[in-house]
Amino acid sequence: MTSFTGPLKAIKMTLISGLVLVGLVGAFSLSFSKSAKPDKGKTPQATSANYKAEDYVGADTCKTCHEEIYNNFQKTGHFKLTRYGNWTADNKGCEACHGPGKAHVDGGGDKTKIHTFEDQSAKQISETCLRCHAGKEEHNNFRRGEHWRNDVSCINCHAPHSPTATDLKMLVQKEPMLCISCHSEIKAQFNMPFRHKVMENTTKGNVLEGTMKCTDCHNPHGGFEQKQVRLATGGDAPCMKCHADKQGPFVFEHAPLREEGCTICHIPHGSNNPKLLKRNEVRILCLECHSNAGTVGAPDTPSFHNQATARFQNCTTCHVKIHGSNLDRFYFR
Amino acid sequence: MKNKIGFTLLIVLGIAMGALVVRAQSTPPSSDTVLGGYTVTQDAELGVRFLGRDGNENKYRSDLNYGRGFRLFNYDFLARSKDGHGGFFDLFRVTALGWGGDPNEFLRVDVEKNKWYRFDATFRQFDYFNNLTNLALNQHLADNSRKFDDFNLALFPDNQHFKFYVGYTFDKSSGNATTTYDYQRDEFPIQSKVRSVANDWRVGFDAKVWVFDLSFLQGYRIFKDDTTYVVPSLNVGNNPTNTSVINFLTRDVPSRTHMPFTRFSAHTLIKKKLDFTGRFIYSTGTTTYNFAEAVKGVDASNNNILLDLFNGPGSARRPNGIGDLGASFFATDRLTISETFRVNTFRISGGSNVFESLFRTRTTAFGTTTLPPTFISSLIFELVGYRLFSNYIEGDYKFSPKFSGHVGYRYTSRRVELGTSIQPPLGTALDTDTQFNHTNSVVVGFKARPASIWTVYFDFERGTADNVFTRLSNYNYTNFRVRTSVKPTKTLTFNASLVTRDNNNPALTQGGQNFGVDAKGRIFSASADFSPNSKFTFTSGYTYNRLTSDSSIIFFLGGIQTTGTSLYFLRDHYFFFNSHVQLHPRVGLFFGYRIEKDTGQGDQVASSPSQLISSYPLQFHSPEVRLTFKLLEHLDWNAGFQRYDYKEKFLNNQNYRANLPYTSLRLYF
Repeated sequence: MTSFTGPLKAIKMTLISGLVLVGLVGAFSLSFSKSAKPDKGKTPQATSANYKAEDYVGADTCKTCHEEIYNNFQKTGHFKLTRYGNWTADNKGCEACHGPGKAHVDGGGDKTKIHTFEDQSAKQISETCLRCHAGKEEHNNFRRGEHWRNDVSCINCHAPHSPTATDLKMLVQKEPMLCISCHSEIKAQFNMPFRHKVMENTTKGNVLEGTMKCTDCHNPHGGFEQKQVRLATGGDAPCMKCHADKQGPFVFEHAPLREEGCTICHIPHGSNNPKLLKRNEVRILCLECHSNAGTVGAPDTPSFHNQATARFQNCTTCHVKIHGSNLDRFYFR
Repeated sequence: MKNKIGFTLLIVLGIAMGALVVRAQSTPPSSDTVLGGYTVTQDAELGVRFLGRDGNENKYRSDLNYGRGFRLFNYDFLARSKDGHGGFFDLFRVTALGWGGDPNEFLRVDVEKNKWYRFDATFRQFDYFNNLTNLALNQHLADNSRKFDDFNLALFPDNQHFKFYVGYTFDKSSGNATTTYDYQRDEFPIQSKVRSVANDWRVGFDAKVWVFDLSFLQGYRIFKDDTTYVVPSLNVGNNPTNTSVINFLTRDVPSRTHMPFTRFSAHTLIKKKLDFTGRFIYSTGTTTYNFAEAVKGVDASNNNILLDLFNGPGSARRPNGIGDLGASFFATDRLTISETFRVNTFRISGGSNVFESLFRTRTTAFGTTTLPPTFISSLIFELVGYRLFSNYIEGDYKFSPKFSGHVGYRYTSRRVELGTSIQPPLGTALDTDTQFNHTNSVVVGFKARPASIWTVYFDFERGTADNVFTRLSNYNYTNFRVRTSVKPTKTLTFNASLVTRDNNNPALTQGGQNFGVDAKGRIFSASADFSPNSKFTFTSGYTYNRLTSDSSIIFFLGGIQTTGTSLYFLRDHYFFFNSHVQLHPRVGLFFGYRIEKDTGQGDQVASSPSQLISSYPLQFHSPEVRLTFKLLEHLDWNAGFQRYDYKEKFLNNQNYRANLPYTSLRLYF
């Protein structure tokens, strides 16, 4: 293998590694030194188990003091539930999340008598939401998802009494701005010459939007798939939802597509390389697999594939149906 | 000339609008309009975009494809019933982006009647253009239209016990393209008329039965491909040393894929201690086709091909079953143990029967001789079998409210079976090869909150495998990720992340050379977001994406097998900033700048013919500015300018510059 490490690069890498290490050690020590205060761990107070109708006052009562919040809440999908006469008070309005409000009202607005979510962990906050929002296939793996594990709670992305009335999901920001506010390294890929159209248009100030959204491919609420991707029809990779012509089944499959997935050759978010490929030249990508030393890997290229000529440097001029073919085992047509 | 007129118009319009701004009364825009029993909010931005471009038009269209002309930049409409008792609906929302001169168009409609139904429809259209000098000898071109429509209806969406779903998705590609055909030891560019359609139907429900949340989905997909291929006239092909030509070609391969699929999942939370999800997906895809191709021309031996006729049917079938189990046991308030198990198995079996009838003549100085016709029947069966077991167990412990850590172990076992049977001779047995792969990996990570404003996420994963099916995939890998967020105030956020990926495949020995693949990826990203108030926002960030791949490869140079190396370099720097400033109660300014620069391999050159160095050094930057004038209470005028400047270091002749001034009116109804 060839080594590229010059002294300058070694110094740069050492510096970066050092900074990261110092940061991590600092974070580690600070976390333990200042974390003596135990988690209060309040459990959600609005539960069906201890429901007493007389403890609930209704959202209109909350409005008398919290008018601004109420006005925002009125514009959300949650508000409509207040009009469901046959729903019990613990499942609708402000008290569905904040618990029964009578004691809080009787106490002249005593904050200790209402569930405020202060001092609650991200998981506890999410549990409040899951009381109602569990049960959809979309949310079945939330308690094993990356966001759950990393203490990203529902309200990090959703605002239950959001002032942004036009968003039905009550997102705190529109996609993809919301997602890249944490996953900032992905933004660069969506600005490369070849990319999926996620942030194409600047609308209303500096909001970037596109015809595709992060949630077209990923399920932020967790899932069984790596990277929390959604599955396309029939359990295939999410790419197949739109790229249906690659789904097959084909008589002659290019096996890595099925075994490893599309990302073995493509970078899904964006790339400088045509066709979102991992390499700028198609032949490099092909040769890096089709070089069989021992028994590992795909077969070698045949001897007439003279890499000194442009014809054989462009593999897909012959192997056009590289994703799979019905007619030719070498993907010629 | 057109551009000059456009700019002049823009300036004149600007002066006129500026005068209007000065005269206009400074009143805030009204918010909602009451219409019947509904509260309605809507706004639309309509305008004209101009385009001044020089350089490579094809590359510009392949990357961006923004056109000139009238355009609906953005449209939002929302109607809500005032009292929750609307007629057919309580909510109606429409959002649209980019209709008109844009290559990417989006429209979404949401309609909801409280308690009864929720409906959404999404329409997307893409103009897909591809014409690149550095891909397939510039012979794979496309000028297509892609349409994706998605419809979903949920009945009783708020019912806690039962929800019913119906869905339909439509996906269509149509347009012109060129591709190539390897025939008679030459490659011929051929034209194709792309036409493929996929239709998905779905029906399902969510139900709560006892302590279980049950979800069921039954779907059916039909994919039709009626793309045709043609060479209408003389085509000499790419190979200059070859006598073969095609005078005429037609090919039809109408194919149909039918794919019924079923998904069932069950979820429960038992005593707030055990969260359990099980899911099973089963699908069977079946493709059938009929192939017909006719070619006329000259073959590689300089015989005249009067007619080379191919025809025959074929089919492929893929039953696929995926089973998933996930369980999380909340042992204590601090300790969670999670277990995820998957089994995935499919078997693709296909058969192609092609019958070739070849009629040729040979012309010499003595005249033309008819050669005996050739009839060849070939039958090929192929098999791809796959079975995967994967298990991941993880423990997550919360040491304190500010620090939690997790440790996990993943085991994956895969089996791949490939088989081929080529007939004649009839009855040839399937020649199969079975490979196994076992991967073990360990995951360690933590999440820390050293201060109320500072959060750190850390993950480390180390995996090893005993075999790989493709050399580029992970064999021995070490992934490291750290992400941090600092929020000193509610209006100021700093984010940074570092992701490293090191992959190695087995270091076998070939001709004395240590023969492996080694890829090192590093991504560093940092960003800042400052939004002190509605009058000023500022966002900026930098990302460095670095990849070095070093692969030992085997290839042929002039018929001589060569063992060499392939080196690929990505050294991509990306910087951006965006800011919005409310200069005056009636004047807003947005300005932004994005630059991407990949320095690639730098000054490194191949040291020998056996070393292939590749990279794609380029620079792509785009400044953008937009002024918004509030002319009237319900009317904004926007004047904006975007520029895209693309330069490649290598001589692919694909550089371009595009200036996109635009003007638009935003109307608030």
